[in-house]
Amino acid sequence: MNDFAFVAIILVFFGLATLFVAACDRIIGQDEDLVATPEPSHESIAA
Amino acid sequence: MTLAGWSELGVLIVVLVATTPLLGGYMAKVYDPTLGRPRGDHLFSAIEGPIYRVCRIDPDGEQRWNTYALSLLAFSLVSVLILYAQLRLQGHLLLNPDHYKGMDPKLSFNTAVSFLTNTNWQAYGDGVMSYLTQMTGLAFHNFVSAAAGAAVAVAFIRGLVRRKSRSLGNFWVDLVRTCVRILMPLAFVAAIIFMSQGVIDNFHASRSVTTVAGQAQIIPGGPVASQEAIKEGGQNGGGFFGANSAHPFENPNGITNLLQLWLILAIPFAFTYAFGKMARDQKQGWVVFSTMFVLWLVMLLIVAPLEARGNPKLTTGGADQRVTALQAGGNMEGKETRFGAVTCGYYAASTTSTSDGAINCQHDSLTPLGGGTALVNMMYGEVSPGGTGSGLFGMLIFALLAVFIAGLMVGRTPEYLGKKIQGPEMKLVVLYLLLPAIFILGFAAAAVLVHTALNSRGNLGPHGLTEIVYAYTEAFNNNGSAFGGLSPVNTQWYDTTLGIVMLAGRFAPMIPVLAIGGSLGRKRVVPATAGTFPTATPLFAGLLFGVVIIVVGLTYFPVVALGPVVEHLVGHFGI
Repeated sequence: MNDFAFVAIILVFFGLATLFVAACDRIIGQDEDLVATPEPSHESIAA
Repeated sequence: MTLAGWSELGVLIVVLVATTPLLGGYMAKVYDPTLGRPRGDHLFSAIEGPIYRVCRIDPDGEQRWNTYALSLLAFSLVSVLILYAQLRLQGHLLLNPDHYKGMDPKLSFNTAVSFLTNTNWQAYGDGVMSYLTQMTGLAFHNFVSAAAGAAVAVAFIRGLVRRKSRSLGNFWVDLVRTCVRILMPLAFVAAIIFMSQGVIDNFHASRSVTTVAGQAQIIPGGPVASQEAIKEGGQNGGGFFGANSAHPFENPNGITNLLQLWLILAIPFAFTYAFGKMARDQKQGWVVFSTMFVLWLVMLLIVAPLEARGNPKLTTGGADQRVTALQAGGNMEGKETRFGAVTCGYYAASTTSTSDGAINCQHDSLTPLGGGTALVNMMYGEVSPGGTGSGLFGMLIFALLAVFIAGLMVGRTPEYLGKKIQGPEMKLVVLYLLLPAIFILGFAAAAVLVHTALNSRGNLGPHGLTEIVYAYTEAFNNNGSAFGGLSPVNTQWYDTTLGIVMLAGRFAPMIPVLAIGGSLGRKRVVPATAGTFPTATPLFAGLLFGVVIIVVGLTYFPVVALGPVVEHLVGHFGI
């Protein structure tokens, strides 16, 4: 294989890695859901 | 094992335990300025300032986890392409007194990826790399690949520690600070010590000399000491010479060998202390430390006595493996006489427990179970204590799995450092744990089916299988310690597939780790209650230890049984 093939392998890999980042972001969901939740008090947890 | 062997181990343990809080405390301040101003802050700030200005980095800017991950990927993509070009064009560049030509494309790909990913698997051997390539291309990656691992670990810690935060820090700042404040000072001091002990450091071309026995010999030169320091301190492992730390110009005596062992282990263990500091709960750090430490010590105490005992096949062949005044004894095949079998065992266990991969003896010549232990060390995912940063985040992933299992046992939502571990985090944890098996076992199985790959085995039977599995295991775990049996290894199949596995082994686990950090960072902290499973106790350390052993055992036992275990049984009992 020549230079083009190996550079292509590298570019494809990093392209897939970028898609993997997007996929992981979908798994964990949006920020707003959790950040907006108020901090619970110790009493409410114990209850 | 001899008294000398036990003494060396004792000194190493004392120094490691003593330096872990010192180095770890300093590292915590480097990454978390709220803990206090780290030593040398004025000097290092003066170095970092121009770097930030030239690179247009906002040192106070924060990044969400996905931006942090994309910064890591962008930096890695650009730097690997530059290294690839440098390897191809080195014949036309400066500092090349031996007039080495550019590498061929497949070897350039394999080598560039290898150093990008902190693997430092060296398929290229001696006499192919110019000094400029060594000093700028490879050494640059020795620093930044280690720093990238550290950055991911620090971002993950921030995710565990921060409350309701969208950001995990700034990749560029973490990268620069790790290089400037941790790796460079450590490498500078270590290089001076190495030179004082006889490790060479010059720009001489190779010299042809006639030995006292009348034989012609080529004496190589090169900037070795400076490379050696970061090779070990950054858990890189790529030697200046093909023989790596078995070469007398890289590792001339017992003092340099002990210093190398410390350098291999120091930063990964220190990261556990830094984790405790940043979490404001030092016991959490010591629990991780003790789990890593016991794993490392147990495996070391398997390899070293096995090598010290010797190889019954060699005894049958007439070799004298006893300890005498004139020889260290034990299985001396593939080992340096100045180090002996026990020290080789220490080195082999430590270099495969971390992502270092440097060697001071040939791992293909270890006893079957000794080689198998080195293999299993890597199969743990190198968490004992692992690479720069990667060891810590690997063990913390196991910690999340451990609290999840404990939560299932008592019927409560698992928590770690007050953060609830829920479905999204566990999906990513499982992904993290499945990826190594898919790549290692998948590619090893494919290699067994491909004639050209199979023909590279140095041995038939179970040892040949171990050679193939070892290659993919060290590649995925970015270890780079060649078992040494595959020959030729510089083939289209191995250069390409090992390159792909190294890339996957580096970035595929880091992305879920950063995602988990991002997910945990935005959560609130739940106050501990009577139902909270405590994670700063010896019980949790035991659970963590058990989880690592069980997960790795369930994943890899069949292939380990077919390789090293069968070889041991055949060798000892003829069955």
